[in-house]
Amino acid sequence: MHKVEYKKLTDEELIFRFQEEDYDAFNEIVFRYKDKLVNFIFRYTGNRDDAEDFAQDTFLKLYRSKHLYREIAKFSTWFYTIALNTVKTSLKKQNRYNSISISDFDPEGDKDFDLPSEDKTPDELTDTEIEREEVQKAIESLDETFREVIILRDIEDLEYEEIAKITGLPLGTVKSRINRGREKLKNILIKILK
Amino acid sequence: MHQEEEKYPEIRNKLLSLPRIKASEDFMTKLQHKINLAEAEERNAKLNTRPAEEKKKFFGFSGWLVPSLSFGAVAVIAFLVIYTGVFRTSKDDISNNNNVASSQEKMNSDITGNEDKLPGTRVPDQIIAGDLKQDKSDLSAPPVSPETKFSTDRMTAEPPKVMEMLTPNPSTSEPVNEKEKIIETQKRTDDVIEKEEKTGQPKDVMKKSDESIKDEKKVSPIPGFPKGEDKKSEKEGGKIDNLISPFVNPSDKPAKIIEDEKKGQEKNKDNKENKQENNIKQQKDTTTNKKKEKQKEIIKETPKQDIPRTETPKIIIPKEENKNQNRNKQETPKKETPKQEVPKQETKNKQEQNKNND
Repeated sequence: MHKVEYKKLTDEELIFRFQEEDYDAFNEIVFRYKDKLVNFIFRYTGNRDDAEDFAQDTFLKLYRSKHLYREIAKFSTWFYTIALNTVKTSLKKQNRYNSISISDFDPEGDKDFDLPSEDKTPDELTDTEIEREEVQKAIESLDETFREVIILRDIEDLEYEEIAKITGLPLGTVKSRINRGREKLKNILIKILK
Repeated sequence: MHQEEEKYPEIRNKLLSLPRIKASEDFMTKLQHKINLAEAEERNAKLNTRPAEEKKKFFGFSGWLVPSLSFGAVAVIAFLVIYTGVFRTSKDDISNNNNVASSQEKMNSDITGNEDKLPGTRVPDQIIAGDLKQDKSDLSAPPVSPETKFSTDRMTAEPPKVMEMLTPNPSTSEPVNEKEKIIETQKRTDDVIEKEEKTGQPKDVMKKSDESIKDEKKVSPIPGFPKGEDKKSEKEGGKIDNLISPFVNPSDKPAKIIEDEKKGQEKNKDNKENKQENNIKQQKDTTTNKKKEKQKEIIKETPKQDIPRTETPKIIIPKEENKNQNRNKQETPKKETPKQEVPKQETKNKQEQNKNND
């Protein structure tokens, strides 16, 4: 009975309950958005572990800043904006740490450190999997401005207005960015598409 | 919408056909762990931020103002206390100096009388408190006698003042009484002689004088006090001595004081005895001279044969004199030289009588 009741509630009703210290409503929100959020972040970052960590951070932000939600926009748009901002800030932090090379610790500079790659060998991958990895690499190769818009539109299937609210951009710029991003992806995935 | 999506339908389908990645099974537990950690950090942050805020808002001043103000207040209070204390002490010193100087001036003016001196003029021998403060050369400690140098107890070095006040000092009190007695005895003898001259009864006078001397010579049981004075002391000072005796034990006196007192008493005894002897001698001389004169007169008046030899006072006088001499010899053997003059005079008298008889 208890679960059914929370499943019937909309996202906005749940967040209002959670604002009244109803932690079951928060659990229901997590249950609804955890896969979507992990998928969105994974497509944005390309790393599963980072995707889960960033997704947990976004839920933690929701837990802390629940009182900031107002009934101006949808809960999904407000929640995706939180997720996108956390991913961006965390990636910036990671890029700062990754900018320091391990070879810098070698004073002589003779030895190169060969780290084992996590990617599977081509023999291990199937055709479909190869295609998926090529598509993921093509998405990762896009700029942030095109990448976030294409993911929100073509993967998460959000509407243009909603994407415009999440990104804070005008609707026309969102549409143009989506077209330009798709055009770039087509140029990258010509071999696969043929 | 559809026109834009119709441009790149293949790419849209490829992206939509990508598999949906699901969260791991421990996603919820990890999330719960992170939430608990975050709550704990918030609690600690609140606890740590409260004192800092309270410090900033202490009395509405910032943190550095409070200690500086408190230090300034303490310094001001200390300065006021010290300044007022010094000012009071200086005032007191000035007033004390003025009081001492004025009192000494008054004393000097009282001593010198109504001499023509202006107020404030200095007397040459006058000592003012200011001079005492300036003349520090005379402030050295007085020389200490070797007896009292190492004596820490006052009782050993000095007799108590109560004893001095209440015990009669024989050196000062006795000589006055003795002098008075001598004067009285001399007056008595003079009166008796005058009466004798008037009445002609020499024997009683001598007996009375001898008895008075004997009474004086009788020594009182208390050392240093004659018996007559002891009776007086019983009337006058004896009561005081009886009152003092329970409070002051002679055993409590130090040995030096007792020795000094004994010495003083012995000296007083010697002095008394010498004075008594001198008085007796004087009296004897006066009586002998007077008797000789009387005898001469009697001899002149009476015929030489009628006077019986036994009735003459020749025999009586030497006996008494010898007795007195023996007593004096026993008491003071040194002072025999003046006593030896009496027999010489007697021999001279005998010779004169013999000559007259011849």
